[in-house]
Amino acid sequence: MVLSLGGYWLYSENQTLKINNSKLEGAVAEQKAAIVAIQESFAKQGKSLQNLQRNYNQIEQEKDQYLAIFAKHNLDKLALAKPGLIELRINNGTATVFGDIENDSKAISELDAPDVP
Amino acid sequence: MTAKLLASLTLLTFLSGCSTLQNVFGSKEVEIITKPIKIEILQPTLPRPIELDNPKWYVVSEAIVTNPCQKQMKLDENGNHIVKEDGTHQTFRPKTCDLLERDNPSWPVGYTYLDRFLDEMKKLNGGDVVFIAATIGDYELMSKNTQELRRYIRELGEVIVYYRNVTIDDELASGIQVEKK
Repeated sequence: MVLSLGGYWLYSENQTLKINNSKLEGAVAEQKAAIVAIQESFAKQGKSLQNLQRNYNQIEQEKDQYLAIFAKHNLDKLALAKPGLIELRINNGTATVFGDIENDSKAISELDAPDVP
Repeated sequence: MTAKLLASLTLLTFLSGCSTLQNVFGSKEVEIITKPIKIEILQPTLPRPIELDNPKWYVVSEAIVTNPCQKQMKLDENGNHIVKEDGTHQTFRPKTCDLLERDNPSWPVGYTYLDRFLDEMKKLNGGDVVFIAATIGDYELMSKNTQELRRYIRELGEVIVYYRNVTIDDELASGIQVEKK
């Protein structure tokens, strides 16, 4: 009688421990998946930050290229000698820059899905 | 003897506390509680695009405005009009001609960009001469400022792109807690 009771107790104890072990293994696996997800998120942020910095540099370069036109040419002399030509260039240039600004803002307002190349 | 044994067992139970009892009656099942950590970030409505109108810049100097002679039909040896492949007549501009035969007969000889500008201002302002002027240096300054504003707009756009990339459709991170009942 005592042996039967003891055997049953040990059996049920073993079952509980098995269930616990299985649950803990599942928890560890889930925890690992969570860590992987966090690492992926960090990697994604890192990549996005790199893209951001690269685009910043490109924007600065483009700005410098535009301003280099003034450094290369003496607009005073050109305007004095060929006002008609410079007037045309200035008005076309203004239209181009304003068009570019409109397009830049359009690109922002039309943003839809995330874009991480 | 029985009383002593009973007293010893009672004392042992009190001294060892509930953990002894728990071990005696078997192990408990653990309960795994998973708590997802989700940060809800609402994406704002993006601003509407910029709409700009172009100003008209005048470049004015005392250089004489070109006032070429009007186009005339080019004739061949027989005095006939020369017709081009596309069916139009071939034309040319004589190097010298009277003022009335020029593109703008109303412009006197020696008419400068400054004269033309002043005439245009008078037309626009009912005979008065009034305008806002800028030096070439200030025009360059305005151009630089516009480029600087464009740089700022573009970089702000890049920041928006960055935040959207890292917040939209992101993996759900979850933390796990083990609790023993």
